[in-house]
Amino acid sequence: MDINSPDFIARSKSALENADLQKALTNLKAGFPGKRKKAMARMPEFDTMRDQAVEIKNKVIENLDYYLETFETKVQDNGGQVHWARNADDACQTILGICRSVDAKTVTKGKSMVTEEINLNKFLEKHSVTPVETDLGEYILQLRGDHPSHIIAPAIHLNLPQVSDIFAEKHKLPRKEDPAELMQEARDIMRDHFVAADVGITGANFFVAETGSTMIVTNEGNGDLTQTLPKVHIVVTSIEKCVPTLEDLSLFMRLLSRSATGQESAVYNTLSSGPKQAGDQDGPEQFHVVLVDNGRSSMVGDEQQDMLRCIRCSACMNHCPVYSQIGGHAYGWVYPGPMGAVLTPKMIGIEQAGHLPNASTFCGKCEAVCPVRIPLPSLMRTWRERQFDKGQGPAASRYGIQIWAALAQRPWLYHAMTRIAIPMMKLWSGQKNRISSLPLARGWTIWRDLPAPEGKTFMQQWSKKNKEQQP
Amino acid sequence: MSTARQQILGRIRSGLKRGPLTEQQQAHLSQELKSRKRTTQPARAKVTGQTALDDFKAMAIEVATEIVNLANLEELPQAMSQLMQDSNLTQQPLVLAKEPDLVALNWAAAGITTDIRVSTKGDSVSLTNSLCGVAETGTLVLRSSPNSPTTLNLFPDIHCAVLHKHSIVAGYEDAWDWVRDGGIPRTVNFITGPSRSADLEQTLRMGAHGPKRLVIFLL
Repeated sequence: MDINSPDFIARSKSALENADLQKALTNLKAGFPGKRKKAMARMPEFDTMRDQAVEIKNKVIENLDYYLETFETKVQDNGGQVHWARNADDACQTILGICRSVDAKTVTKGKSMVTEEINLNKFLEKHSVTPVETDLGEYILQLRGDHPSHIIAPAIHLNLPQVSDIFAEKHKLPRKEDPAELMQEARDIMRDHFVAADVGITGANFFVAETGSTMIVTNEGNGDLTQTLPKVHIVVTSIEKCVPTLEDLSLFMRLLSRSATGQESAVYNTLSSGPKQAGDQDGPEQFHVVLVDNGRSSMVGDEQQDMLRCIRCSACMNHCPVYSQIGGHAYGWVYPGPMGAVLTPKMIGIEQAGHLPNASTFCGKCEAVCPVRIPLPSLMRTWRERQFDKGQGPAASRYGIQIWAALAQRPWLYHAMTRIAIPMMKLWSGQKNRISSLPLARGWTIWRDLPAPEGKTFMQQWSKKNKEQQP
Repeated sequence: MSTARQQILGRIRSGLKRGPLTEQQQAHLSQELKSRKRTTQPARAKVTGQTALDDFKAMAIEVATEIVNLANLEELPQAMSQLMQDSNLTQQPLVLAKEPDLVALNWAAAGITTDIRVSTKGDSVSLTNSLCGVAETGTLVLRSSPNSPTTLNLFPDIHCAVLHKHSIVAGYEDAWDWVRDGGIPRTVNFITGPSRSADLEQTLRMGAHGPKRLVIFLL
C-alpha cells in the first residue's frame, strides 16, 4: 500500500465531508462494540484470561529467538519450510521465488494484513503472477482498486450500492441489489479461482511453536479453500504472532473472536501443520511459512515492545472516537486506529506518520478494551515525546508546549498569569459570559463557545479556604 | 543458516540484551512446551455429562448449525434421504468420506447414490465423520486423513457430519488432547456453524464461500 500518512489532516477533513463514508461508518458504531459487550457478559473469566494472555505474550517476546527456532524445527519435521524475511523486499522475493518454482500463473489469497504491509499484490502483478483476493471484502476492494480501511472488516467504508456497481461493471452481469444475490455471485466466481490457482497464500492469526502449526481464524471459509486446493500453500505471517502451545492457543482463540466481532467463536479456526500427509487425498504438496520481521525485532527491548502483544482483533479501532469519525483510509497506510497510530510510525518512520499518534483524545477506551492490555495511549504519548525531541511537528504547537512547560515549572509565574488571564477572559466574553472567538484557539471556538471562567483561580480559592480553616 | 535468519535473531537478542539462551534455559522452555499446562479455563469449558451435551446443542443451534438426533448409525441413510428430498437434491450424489463405518451403510436402499472422493466445484452435499464436538462454543472438530479429505468440509453447499455423544468434550484444550493423541494431521478444522460474512454493510449473512448449511447427525 502506498504511504499517504503525511496527508492525514487533509484526508480526515475529506472523510468528514464524505456522506457515503459517514453513512457506512454508522454501521460500525451500531455493530461491533455492542456485540463485544454482550460476549463479555457471557464470559465472566474474561479479565483473568486477559491477564494470562499478557503473561504468555510477554514470555514469548522475552524468549522469541527460542520460540522461532523451535517453530522452524517443527515445521521442518512436518515436511514444510520456513523462510525468514527482514523486510518487505525479502518477503516479496521469497514468495515470488516459490511461485516461479511451480510456474504459477495465478495465486489465490486469504485475508492478510501482512501481505498489505509488504505490498505483495503489486509486486506479484509486476512479475506476471495474478493475485486473486478471496475474502469477500478484499475481493470487492481488489475489483475497485481500493484498499482495506479496517483490519478485519476491510470494506467497512463501502455501502451496498457501491458493491452492486462494481460487480455489474467487472462481472458483466445484470446489476444486483440484494445482498444474498451479490454474495452468491461472488461465491460462484470465486469457486473457479479456487480450483484454478497454482498457489494459495494465507496469513496466520497465530503460529504454534510446540507443533510447528499455523492457524487462521475466519468466517467465510475462503482462507480454508485457498490453502487446501492449490498444490502450494504459503503462509505469510509476522514474527510476533507466536504462541508456545495448543493450550495457549485455546486462550487466544477465546479472546480473539469475542474482542473482534463479539462472536463466541469465528466459524473456521483452522490449524495447518505441514503439507498433506501420506495417503491424504487433498491438501497442498508444499507448505511454506514466510516469517516477516519488517521492523518488529527492533521493537524488542524498546519503549514500544508492548505493541508486540497485539493480536489484531480491531477492538481498539472499533471503540475509537477518532476512527469512528474518519474511517481507516484517513490514516494513510495499512494499520489504522489506535494500534496503527503506534505501529505505523515504527514501520514507515515518525517523520511520515507523525500525525497518527496525535490523532487521539487519550480517552483510554482503546486500552480498556484491548484483550492483551496494550497501553495504547501511553505508547502514543511516547511517539509524541520522540517527535518533540526530534524537533518535529507544527511550530505553533511546539512553541505552545515550550511556553506551557516554562510556566508549569515556575508556579509563581503560572499563578500570576492565571490571576491576570481570568478577569481578562471574563471581560472578553462580554455579557453572555461565553467566549465565541479566542486568539490561537479558533479551532475550538469555531464549533462552540467557551464558557468564561467565573470567580477566582483554583489556587486562590484553595489558599483562602486553608486560611479560614486555621484556628 | 541464512543471513536474514541470523540478522533477525541477532536483533531480537540484542534487544533483549543477551546472547542465545543457555542449554538449561532452553531445556526449561522445552519442558514447558511438552507439559500441556492449561491456562485458566472458563467454567463453560469444564462441564461434563448431560451439561456438556446440552451446552453443545444450545451453542451449535445458536450459530445456525442443524442437529438431527439418531438412535443408531443404521438410521443415517434414511435421515440423509429425507434431508436430500427436503432440499431438492435427490438427483445429486452424496459425496462420501471413505470412512469404513459410513461406506458400509446401505445407501442404495435409501435411494442415495454415493461418490467416494474428494469434493470439487459443484458438489451439493457431503458426509463425513468428526473427531469430537466442543461444548463451550458448539464447535465441530475434524481432522484430515486419507479417509477424511478436508475439501468435504468446505466445498459442498451442505456439509453433514456424524458426531457421537461420547465424543463431546468440554473445552478446546480437551479437543487438542484428542488431536495430539492421533498425531497432528495436515489440517484440523474447528467449525462453528455454516459459512457467513459481514463484509456487506456489516450485517452477518449466511453462505459465503464455505458450506451454506452445517448438519450434525448426533448419535
